[in-house]
Amino acid sequence: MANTEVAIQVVINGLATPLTFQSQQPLHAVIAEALGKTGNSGRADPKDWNATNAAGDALDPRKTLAQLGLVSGGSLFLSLGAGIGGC
Amino acid sequence: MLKPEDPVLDETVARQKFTAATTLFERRHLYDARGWEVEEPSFPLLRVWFVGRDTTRRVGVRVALRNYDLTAPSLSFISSSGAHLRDEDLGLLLRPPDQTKIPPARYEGQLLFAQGPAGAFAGYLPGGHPLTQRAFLCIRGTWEFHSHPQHADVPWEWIRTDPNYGFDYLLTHARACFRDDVFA
Repeated sequence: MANTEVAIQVVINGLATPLTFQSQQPLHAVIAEALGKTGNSGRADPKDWNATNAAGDALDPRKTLAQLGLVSGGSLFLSLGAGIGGC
Repeated sequence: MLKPEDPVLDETVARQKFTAATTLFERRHLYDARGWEVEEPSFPLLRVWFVGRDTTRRVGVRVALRNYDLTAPSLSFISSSGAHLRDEDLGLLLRPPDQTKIPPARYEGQLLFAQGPAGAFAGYLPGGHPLTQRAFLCIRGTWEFHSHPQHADVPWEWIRTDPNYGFDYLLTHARACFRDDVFA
């Protein structure tokens, strides 16, 4: 499958940042790269984050952008996981 | 113990901090596709509804910000009309307790589940917060979490300046507590 450029907006805590990735990049790599490029290097472990598409569907971090149907013009939402410590 | 609505923070400061809610409202178009209806905030409240496929309100959250961000946002669950949901009504909308961050009620150690047709899971009775007696979202970043005796070792001050514990985070986790069929 061709590896093409995908220009999407990454939304972290309500801030949308336009970024470009490769369609064959796995989502976990995209998350790590996006966190670095948006200044979230202090919490850079992709496992700490939940990734969803614009509709709010959870995305599997092992899949590539192409497999997830994320194409240019799309949105990737990253939210911090609830983590440990809840009731 | 002070309640979320008790005025502690100077109102001028609180109103300045409240602009964070206004910012979410201004960016509400980002959340259209996921079915969030963000109401224009009115100090000290932010209200957001989660709508169904037909765009009608199914359930919502009320975020009380009277003392934000001296204290964490206080989050409660509301009906389509904006009234606080009774525990038994909220419970009928929830995923199983191990998939939500809304603690269940316990009676003699037992949980109370609702059953739908053919015994299908149809919700559970949530438990009340010890200070408000209301069902609550027990995650870092809520007043209910940081005021809970069980989490006194995790003060709000540790994360207060981290923007990743903002409204987007709170609302995402609140929305995730509800079953898909609620929005069908």
